[in-house]
Amino acid sequence: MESPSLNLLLVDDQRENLVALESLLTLPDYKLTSVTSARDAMIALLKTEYALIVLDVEMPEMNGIELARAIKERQKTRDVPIIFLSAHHDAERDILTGYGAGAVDYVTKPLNIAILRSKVAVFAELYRKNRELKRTNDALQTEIAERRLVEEALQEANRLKSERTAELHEMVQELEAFSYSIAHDMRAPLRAMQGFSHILRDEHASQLDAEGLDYLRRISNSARRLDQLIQDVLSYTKVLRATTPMQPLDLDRLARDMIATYPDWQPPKADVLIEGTLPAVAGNEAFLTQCFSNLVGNAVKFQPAGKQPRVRIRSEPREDGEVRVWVEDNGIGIAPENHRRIFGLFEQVNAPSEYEGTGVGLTIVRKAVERMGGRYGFESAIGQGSRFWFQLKTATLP
Amino acid sequence: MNKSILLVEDDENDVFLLTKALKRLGIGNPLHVACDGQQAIDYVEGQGKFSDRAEFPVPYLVLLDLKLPHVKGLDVLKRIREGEGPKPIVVILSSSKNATDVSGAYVLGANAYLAKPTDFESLVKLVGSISDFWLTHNVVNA
Repeated sequence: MESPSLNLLLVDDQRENLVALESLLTLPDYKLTSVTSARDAMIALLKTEYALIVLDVEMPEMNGIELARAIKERQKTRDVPIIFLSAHHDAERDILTGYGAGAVDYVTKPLNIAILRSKVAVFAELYRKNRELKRTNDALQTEIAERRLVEEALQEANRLKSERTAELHEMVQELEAFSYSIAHDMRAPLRAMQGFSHILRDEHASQLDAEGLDYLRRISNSARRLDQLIQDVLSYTKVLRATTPMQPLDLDRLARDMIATYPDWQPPKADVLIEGTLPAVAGNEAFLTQCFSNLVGNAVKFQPAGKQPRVRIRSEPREDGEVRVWVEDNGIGIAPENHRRIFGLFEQVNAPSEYEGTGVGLTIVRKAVERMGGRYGFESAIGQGSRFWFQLKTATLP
Repeated sequence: MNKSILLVEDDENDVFLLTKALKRLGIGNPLHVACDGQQAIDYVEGQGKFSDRAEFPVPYLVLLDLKLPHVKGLDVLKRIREGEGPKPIVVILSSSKNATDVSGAYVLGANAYLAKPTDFESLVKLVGSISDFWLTHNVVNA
């Protein structure tokens, strides 16, 4: 950007002197204003900002020295540099230097063109530099102010956020404690329902006809179903609430121990096998138990009537030191339109009369895998079985 | 000596079912019921209406529910273990397997912590096990 021209004020009571000065200083950089009295000089200074005043010392009414004093007394004009044009009097020079270095200088008469131009040029340059500095400084101040505003807004937002987070955290904890407690309290009347229908059947069956016994069976089944639902919700809230840390786990041993203990996973009821050896992973034992229990449980459960479930568990190394664990079955499979629903809470894609369940199992798997920082998914088609997987970081056992 | 049992339980259905289970197993030990925490403490210490030890013998085994009105189960346990009164075997019978409850019970000196089963058959089995272990086989430090 081309720097704008600088305003120079020339003050001399002699018109011809002014003309001479103008001719000396007429340069593209300067915009000259010429006045012939101290009064006009003051008026000009009030109207315009000047980079420099070139001032004749000897003037009638108010001389140059007096005008300079007036200029220096005013806040607005105090910093405008002055070059005096003076005669050869030492006394005058002493007064001039009394104004202090930098802002005041003098050139003796008769004028030396080179000296005058160079002194004017020095002050002009000084003024230009100062103006740039001031502009930069102003910009900086503006930026600092803006940044401060942004920072304050950010701090306020952060404060609000942490306040909200704390509130939400407390609310979630209360809700979870509440649901946990409710789930426990709900089991007490269930125990009564189950217990009394059991005793009724054991001790009073002779007084009931077939229809009555059927009703009794329905009461008992419903109570058992509700109990299962409550237990599943409890497991789910446990996965939500648990704060147990992650640690290296022997996945192979965990899975094999589980397969050996579940009665419904044993031959001839089912054929559940681990292919190869599962690696150690970074995880949480309770969470992984939930994963296997629900995935293998589903694989065994969702089968056509009379077919022996065949379940294969195997691992597949993935990038970034992760491992994908597959649980594959030969069951009924999942229709494409249901693929999006199955990990949702209480979602059941099959009729509960056909396959008992609560729609919580896969939600537990999802939450458990998420809380271990892993991923999950599946591949399935109707009649072609399902292949569920979860993916975790491998680990080294201590 | 006929070891007596104190059942601390506020749910009358649970009281009924447990009594029924004992009866079905033919366990004839004297059974008394306290339906809140304060009653349980008064009974164990033989205070007030429980001062007649002939009618309200010192319990050998306390089956203690945790969720009780007024004085909570864990506070009953604390009082029994830290107070001046008799020191019976205390088995917690709770529907909660909440980790805080479980660890709290053991810290305060519970002898065992058992979860109430939902179906009656399991309850009968559990009561049988309690009787076998705590009333028959277990030897106390007299």
